Amino acid sequence: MSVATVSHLTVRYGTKTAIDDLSVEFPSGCVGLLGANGAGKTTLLNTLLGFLHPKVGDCQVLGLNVATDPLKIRQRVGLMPERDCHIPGMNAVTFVAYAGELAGMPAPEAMRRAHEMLEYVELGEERYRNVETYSTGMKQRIKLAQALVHGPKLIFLDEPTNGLDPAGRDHMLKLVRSISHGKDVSVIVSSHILPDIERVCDSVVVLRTGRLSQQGSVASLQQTEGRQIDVELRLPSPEFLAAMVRRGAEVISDTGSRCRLRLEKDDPGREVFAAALEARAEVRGFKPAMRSLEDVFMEAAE
Amino acid sequence: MSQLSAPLPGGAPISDISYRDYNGPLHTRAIRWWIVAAAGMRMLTRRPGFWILSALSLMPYLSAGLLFYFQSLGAQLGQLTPPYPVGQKYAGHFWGALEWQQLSLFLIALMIGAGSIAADNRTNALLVYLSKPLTKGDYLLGKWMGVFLTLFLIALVPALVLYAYCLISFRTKGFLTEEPLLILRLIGAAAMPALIHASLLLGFSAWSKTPRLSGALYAGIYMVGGFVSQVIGLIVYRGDLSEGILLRHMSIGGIISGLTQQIYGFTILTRGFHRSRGVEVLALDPPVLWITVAVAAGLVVTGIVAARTKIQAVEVIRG
Repeated sequence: MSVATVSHLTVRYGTKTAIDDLSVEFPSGCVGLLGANGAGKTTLLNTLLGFLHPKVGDCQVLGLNVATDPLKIRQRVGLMPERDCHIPGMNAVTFVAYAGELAGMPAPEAMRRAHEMLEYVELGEERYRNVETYSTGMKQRIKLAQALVHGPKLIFLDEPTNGLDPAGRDHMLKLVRSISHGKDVSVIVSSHILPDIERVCDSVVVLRTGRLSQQGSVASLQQTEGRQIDVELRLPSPEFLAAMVRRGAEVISDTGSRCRLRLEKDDPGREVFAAALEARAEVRGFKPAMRSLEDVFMEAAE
Repeated sequence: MSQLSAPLPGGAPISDISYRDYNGPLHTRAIRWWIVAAAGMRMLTRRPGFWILSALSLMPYLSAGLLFYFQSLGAQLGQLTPPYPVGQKYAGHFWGALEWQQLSLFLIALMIGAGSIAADNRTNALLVYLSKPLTKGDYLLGKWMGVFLTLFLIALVPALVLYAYCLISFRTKGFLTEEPLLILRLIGAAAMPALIHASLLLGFSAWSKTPRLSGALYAGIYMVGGFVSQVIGLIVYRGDLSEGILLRHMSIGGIISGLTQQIYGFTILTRGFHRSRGVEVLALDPPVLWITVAVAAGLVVTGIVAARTKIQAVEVIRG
């Protein structure tokens, strides 16, 4: 089931086309939205929230039309923006409760929920501090808390790990993973940091200059074309590579003692060991080759 | 061990910090502007400056009350109370108190209005507001009402207290029969400064990211505009206060003053000096009604339209 559907969407800023005839479906779960700077990620999120009004195309979020039901959509959706944002002069618990009230929650419910959310993002001890005095990591977490307070079914996270130190990043990713799995909440994460997406997302959508470049589950995108294997030797061995080529393999990459080979045979392990024996090379390990999301991203950007 | 003191498996419910969905009640969208307005007013009440200015704004009505009190004791207060005709006696005092209150209302307006949207612009708070089920109109109405209601109440409450005092003390002396519409007039007059300050300040505030800058700009226009209109009026009409009334009211403060005088419906009696006629009592009518109303409406609409134009969740730069 898809949580957001975009059909033939075109968004222009004056003469510049930010999104060009884009059609894509975001499945439920945790979806990564990838793309280089200017690829149209933030424009797409802004369009899905009804902040922008494109003349061409149709967008549906949680089964509601963005053009006709933007308020109903925003009732069911939470946004954690990329930029720092807070209500000036409020402490954390007042801010999050206020965000809940803006979403229609009665004041006592909003306050109770604000306490819950601040505990959830581990800001419970700091809840009475003015948000303006928070560190970058704390500001990221309070943005998440205000996005979650009204119990949305879909959350847009725009660069959630921006400016975080490794510990803060790890914590944020755990939170994102936790929200998006087993809580009946879907998450769309826009990020440049590919390992983050790889860690938390089940599927990805890759944009390139406003168009869909690639889409699929992380596992399927990481699969290599044909039958590819990564082989690690104890020492670099040109003889081993030559023996593999004689057995019909194609060398995809060769970085010292590691190499990636394409070999269209049913039992590549047998061929690897036979070639190693012939070349008197010592095999430390081999496994089916997987592409990193960085490879996918770079391919999409080319 | 009693049931209550027995440890709960997995800890007490309070220790459950896992994420839970919210399926509780939700208010209709119709009152969401009030949440914005109430939050603005709540934050204002935490500022000591607000209470000091509010206390200062009571002084004119307190003085008018004391004047009425001493008059009722038979004191001779001729220099302090111009000889207003029957039907304008109380209106004159109420208008005078409101006029005197203008400065503190203006300062309170600056305190709440200058930062109302500018501070949100500075902290990107509009993204928080508009990512919730809230329209630009809800947000603007909430901000406007926050400023308007505060100023309106500060202007209205002391006027109502004074009215109540007069009602109790002077009912038998023609208070109700001579000026039966006074209660409506004072409500209408109290709304005028609130209406104009709220609208214009929101316009200034929406176009700035610095509350102090928008406040300074508004204060500058208010002060300089008032000074310039007075000076031009005096130069053009050679110091004759009975002439050029409309011209002397062509400023933010002047328009507020003219409107409230129209609402109280009375003629100011003041002592003036004329080169040929010497010292004389001048009767200053309010400025022309339709022009005053048109200028006031123009100021209000300009302020609101300016604010609405600038309120956006995301800034779109068109290439």
